[in-house]
Amino acid sequence: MNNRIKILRQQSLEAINTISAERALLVTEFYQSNASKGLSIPMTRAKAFEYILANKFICINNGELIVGERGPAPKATPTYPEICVHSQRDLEILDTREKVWFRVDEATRKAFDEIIFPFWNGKTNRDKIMEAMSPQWHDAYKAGVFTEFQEQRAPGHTVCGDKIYGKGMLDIIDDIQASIQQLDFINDPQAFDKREELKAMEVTARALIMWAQRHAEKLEEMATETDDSSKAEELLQLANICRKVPAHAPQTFHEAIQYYWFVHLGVITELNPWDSFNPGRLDQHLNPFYQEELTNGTLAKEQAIEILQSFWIKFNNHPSPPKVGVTAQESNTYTDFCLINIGGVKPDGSDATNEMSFMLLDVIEEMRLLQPSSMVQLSKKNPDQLIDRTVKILKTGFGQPSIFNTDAIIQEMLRMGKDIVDARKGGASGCVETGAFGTEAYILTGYFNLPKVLEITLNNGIDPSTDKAIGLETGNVSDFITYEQLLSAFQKQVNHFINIKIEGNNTIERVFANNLPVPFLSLVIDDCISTGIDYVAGGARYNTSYIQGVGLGTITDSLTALKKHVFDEASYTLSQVAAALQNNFKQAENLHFDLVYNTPKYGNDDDYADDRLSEVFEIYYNAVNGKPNTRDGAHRVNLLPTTCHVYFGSVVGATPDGRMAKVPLSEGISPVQGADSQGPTAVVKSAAKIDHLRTGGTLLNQRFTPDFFKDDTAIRKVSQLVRSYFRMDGHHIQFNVVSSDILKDAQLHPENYRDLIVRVAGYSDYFNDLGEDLQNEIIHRTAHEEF
Amino acid sequence: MHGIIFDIKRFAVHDGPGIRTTVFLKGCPLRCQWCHNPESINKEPEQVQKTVWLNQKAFTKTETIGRKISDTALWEELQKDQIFMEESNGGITFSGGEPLMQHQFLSSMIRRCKKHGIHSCIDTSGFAHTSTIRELEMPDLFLFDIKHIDKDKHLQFTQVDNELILQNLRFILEKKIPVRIRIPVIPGFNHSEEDQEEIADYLTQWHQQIEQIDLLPFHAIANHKYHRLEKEDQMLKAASIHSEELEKYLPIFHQRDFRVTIGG
Repeated sequence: MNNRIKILRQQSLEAINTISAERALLVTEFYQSNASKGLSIPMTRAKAFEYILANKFICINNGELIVGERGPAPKATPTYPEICVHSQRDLEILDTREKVWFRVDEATRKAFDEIIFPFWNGKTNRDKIMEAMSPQWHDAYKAGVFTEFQEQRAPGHTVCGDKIYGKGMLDIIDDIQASIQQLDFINDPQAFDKREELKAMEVTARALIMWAQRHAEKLEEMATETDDSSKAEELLQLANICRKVPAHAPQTFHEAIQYYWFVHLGVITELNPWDSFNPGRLDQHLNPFYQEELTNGTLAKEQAIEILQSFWIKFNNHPSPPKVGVTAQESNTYTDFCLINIGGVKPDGSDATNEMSFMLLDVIEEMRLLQPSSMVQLSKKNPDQLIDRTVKILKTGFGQPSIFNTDAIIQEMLRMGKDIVDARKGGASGCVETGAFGTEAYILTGYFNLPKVLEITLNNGIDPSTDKAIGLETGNVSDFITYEQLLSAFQKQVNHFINIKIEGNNTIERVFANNLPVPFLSLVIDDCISTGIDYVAGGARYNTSYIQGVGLGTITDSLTALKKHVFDEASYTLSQVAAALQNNFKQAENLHFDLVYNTPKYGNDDDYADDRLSEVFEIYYNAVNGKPNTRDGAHRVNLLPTTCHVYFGSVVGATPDGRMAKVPLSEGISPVQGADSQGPTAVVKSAAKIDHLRTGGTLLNQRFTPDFFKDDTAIRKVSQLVRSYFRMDGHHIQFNVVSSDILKDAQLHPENYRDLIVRVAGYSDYFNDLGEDLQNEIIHRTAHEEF
Repeated sequence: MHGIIFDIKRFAVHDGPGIRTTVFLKGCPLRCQWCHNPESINKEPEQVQKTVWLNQKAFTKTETIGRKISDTALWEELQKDQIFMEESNGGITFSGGEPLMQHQFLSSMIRRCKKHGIHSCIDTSGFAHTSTIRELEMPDLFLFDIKHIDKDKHLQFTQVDNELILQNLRFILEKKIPVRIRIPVIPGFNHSEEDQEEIADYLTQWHQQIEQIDLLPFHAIANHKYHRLEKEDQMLKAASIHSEELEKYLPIFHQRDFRVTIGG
């Protein structure tokens, strides 16, 4: 990377995460002013958006090639009081917590205390949601049976398609006008509402153009102030770009990226949608611009890379807006899950890999930034070169890019009833969520704690941590004679809690549709303009609601242990096990030992355990799949945890797989930490026993030491492992290259690392099986190989 | 037909081409002082005490090393990773112990591999009766250990003489079976340019047929295993060799047109 990028990158890394009161103050000012009175809800939201963009500080960082910041400075992070308002106590926590902190200065504190909090307290969307929820919902929510995504952040979870690369905002306004012309006030009772929505969309489109012009003015002003003529020239070039896009369709590579970035900022300024926003299939969108300019001689490869790198830094300047309370534990990270997709297939189904795919991989490797996240879509049609290049980056222990199965993703979408071209234009976003880019609102609604439901089942509907009856009475432990009876009780409890969750979801969707439409986001997701319906109200072509199951490994191993020790072998009674769980295995050490060491575990390609996984999957799938949402779409399942397995673990006592109380659950569809002892092929075979094609995404994490990536031959074998998993319809796999710190932890807690294989010398062995001296040697060697 | 095995390792990526499953057959006639699989020597299953940790508390678990398994049952287990073998042009490696000690069982397994089009490989010390080698169903590849050319030194460090080994190597090479040579480099035994040159000279006549030579540095890795088997007195007490120390041997093999790696 050149000097300019080095400096910008360093600045981004060193920028301090702060809370900025700017947006909250502007939105409060607007709602307090007369300008907000008498408007329809969509128009109120549009005018608030316009007010923010007209008045916010224009921040241009020295030397950057892509301009625009959400806050007044890099990592100055706004809040969204119309969604939820931060109290003094919240700000205090954010300022002082050990991890993922945001500094709050005195002026900000004062603004919240005197203006923002008093105005919004009791009037936020969060207040409306909490008020609308049933007592059963509140009980389950407090017990940690499920979480609620929309409580502190807006529904987003979507990705930009290819629309903006062919249409400027002025073209989009023409589409809006045409849609208004089409409205049928005689036959369509919603025509008035649609017109309000469409008018609101136009206001936001014009607001974005206005905001870009403000950037142009500032850049021109900066150009007159500098004595450096080449600097002045560069600033004027940037100003020209801001005058051109987003008003008009982009014609150059640079314009295309700047246009996307303005749209990105528009989406995350309008509200705080989950997973921010995302350019999606970036190599597909950018390559035509790049190739054309390369041919015309108007852009060199080095320039293109410099622009891309400057773009990457912009993502890193934008941490996820801070939450507090439960949602902070759900996803406690600065990452805002903007997942850039590389590779995959073209709309006609052919291999989509192009020169830009590999340029983006180079940028990812060189930038090594937390944000944006990146992934490679691997189809059977993509060349091995793509996967080998990806594995080479993974070798550096950076954890990115993750690898997704394009062919599975497309089949998942076809199963959900999407058009094949829309499916091929899609991919995965956030963590691993399947979606059609530019045409779908696929809302994650919350995580679902499967092991917690087993705990409640084993306590006849009572949550043992509060002694409160929150589930159904499905029988005392002494009543279960067969494993099938126990499983059937578990199924009833799952259905019970899923129904509570869905009832909540369908209420919350209406709270958003009625109070917080997003006319700006609706501009870029089809078919909101042609239908005249907002993104949150069902205007997108496809409308999916996901509920994400968590703790698959823990629940599978728990049921396996009960089936084996209680029902098949009758070595313990269910009451004995339940008592041991209640006491967190105190005075039950032999039982504990049998549960951990004498029980088949998921992740070892052992059907005794893996069949339990299929049972759980079917129960969960049948509870959720196909239940309607309010947006003319349906609920679907996902199997991913982000970091919620930690929070969910903290509310679950000891489990029959031998897990101690409060310890994290297993994550995604990965086996319980350390329970897989037959190597990665056995793990992926076990994981492939789930029917991934009936989900909207699964997450599998696989641990490797750097030795497995030692040379091209070794890398090839890891690539082939991935290909094999994908042949079995696996959705996603990501590699964690083990660090020396992890190895040190494995020395201290060997039971958590039963799966850890290290290369010794010409062969591999389980780390636990090595003598301490050799363990030390391998730790030393791994540390040496780290970057 | 039954054999005795002591381990099956899936995703074995160092034992031949592609992703492989390696099955370890129990029993070995050699007594190499540096043996890192001492549990493989005895042909019969044996019990060991293993310390297992739970909650920072030690539990003693009795484990049986080695199990009797039928060729049909073993084949079923080996097929579990067929999809990976297909995807990577991998296959199955038979290691030990010394797999040739159970040559009839081994031949039966190799025949199954051939019947199903799965690549097979034997990882061997080469120590077996001439008749054994002649009767053996030939695999697609041999990983063949050459430890020393000097007869006496070989006898002193492994308790067997190398005459049969070298004869068997010649037999395999003459049958045009692909071979990779593995040389464990052991301090005080063959860790010198002289020793390595002697090996290289001996192999030169077959340099076109030998696919590759792997130099495997000695690692003091098996202390815990000797401890578990209560055989600590039989362990070679020497320091590990770092991979870099073997780089000086590379030219010896390069000069003779061999493809050579360190560590395989």
